[in-house]
Amino acid sequence: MTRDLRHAHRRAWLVLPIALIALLMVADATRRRAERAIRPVSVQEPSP
Amino acid sequence: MSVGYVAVQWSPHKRRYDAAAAAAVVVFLGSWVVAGKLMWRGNHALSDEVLILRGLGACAAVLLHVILAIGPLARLDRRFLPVLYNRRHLGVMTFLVALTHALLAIGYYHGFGVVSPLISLLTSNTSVSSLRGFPFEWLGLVTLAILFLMAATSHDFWLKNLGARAWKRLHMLVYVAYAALVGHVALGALQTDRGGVYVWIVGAGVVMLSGMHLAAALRETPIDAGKAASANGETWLDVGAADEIPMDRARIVAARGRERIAVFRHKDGFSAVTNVCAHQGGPLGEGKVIDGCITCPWHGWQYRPGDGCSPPPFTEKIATHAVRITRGRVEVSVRAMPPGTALPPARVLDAVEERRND
Repeated sequence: MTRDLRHAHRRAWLVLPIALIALLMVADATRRRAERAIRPVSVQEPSP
Repeated sequence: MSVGYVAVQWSPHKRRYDAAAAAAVVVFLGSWVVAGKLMWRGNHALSDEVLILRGLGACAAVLLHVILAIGPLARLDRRFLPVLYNRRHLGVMTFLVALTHALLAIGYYHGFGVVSPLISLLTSNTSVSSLRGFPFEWLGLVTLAILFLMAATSHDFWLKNLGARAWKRLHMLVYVAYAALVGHVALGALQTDRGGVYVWIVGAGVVMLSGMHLAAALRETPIDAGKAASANGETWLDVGAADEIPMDRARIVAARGRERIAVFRHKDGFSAVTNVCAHQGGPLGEGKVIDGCITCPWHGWQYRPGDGCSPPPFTEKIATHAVRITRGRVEVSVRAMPPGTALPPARVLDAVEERRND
């Protein structure tokens, strides 16, 4: 592989994991928020 | 190599490779369906269509990970080289599996309305500002389009007509495809995953692949830091002691900021050529001399050590470099000669005689 292509590969593998892990963390946080929002809330029965 | 084209130059190795890959796909899908039937039962049971649809998507994702792992694995351990040899076949198979996944998904989720399924896919959800409701299918479509482009141009015909440099750059779009695939899963399947397992699986894939690529790059870093010394208007690079290079093998060196050079020891002495194969840029210095020719470890393209020309009837040529032996050490000129330039190989005996004459 030529020198410039090799450098392009290295740059790609330095940037890609950071961007993708960040995306996964944001996506998972969104999922958790949505999951919490639809979780049934326990309602305390009024005392007689 | 350069003489004529056929659709696929089938060989027993290629047949075995394709058969093994196809069998692996079938076993993966079978296991996925069986596991899916066992895991999701009763009220949570999935229909066969959805199970197969998800299985195909997971299979395409696994195949793409395998493809991206082959390159660094082959650089870290030569035993993986045979897998690299037909990586393009695996790429075409990945496209076909991803295409089947896409056709099933579009047919199942968009095929029963009055609007064309593809139009429906592109227009039914346009909430790009929301992460939760993002049209993740679009990202899948981007991945599929890139996989198609790569599969369609995977033949040597395109490699020759586009040129190795442009072809390799085009095929680096696989990184965009990978990023789009992770986005497709993160904003699609991951959003409906109640256990939160998908994020760990996809994250492990990202960490594994980047770890392999960075490990391979770090291992090669010392090669590019060679120290060159100028003498008589020529810049020479120390390669090492003459007896350190095994017969029919090479040592790869490079002056800082310059292209790598492969210095081979063969029956006639020491010769040097560029480390970049004219085919796909394979690392010639990691190959060996077979039948008197330097043979690329990736796809077996061959060049004569003395002049960098492929043996007839082939017409490829690569750059050569002058080699000399000084006090038992091999030195190579950093100046690349025009491709196909014949240079006499340096011999240890010549160096001994030279010292006697001094």
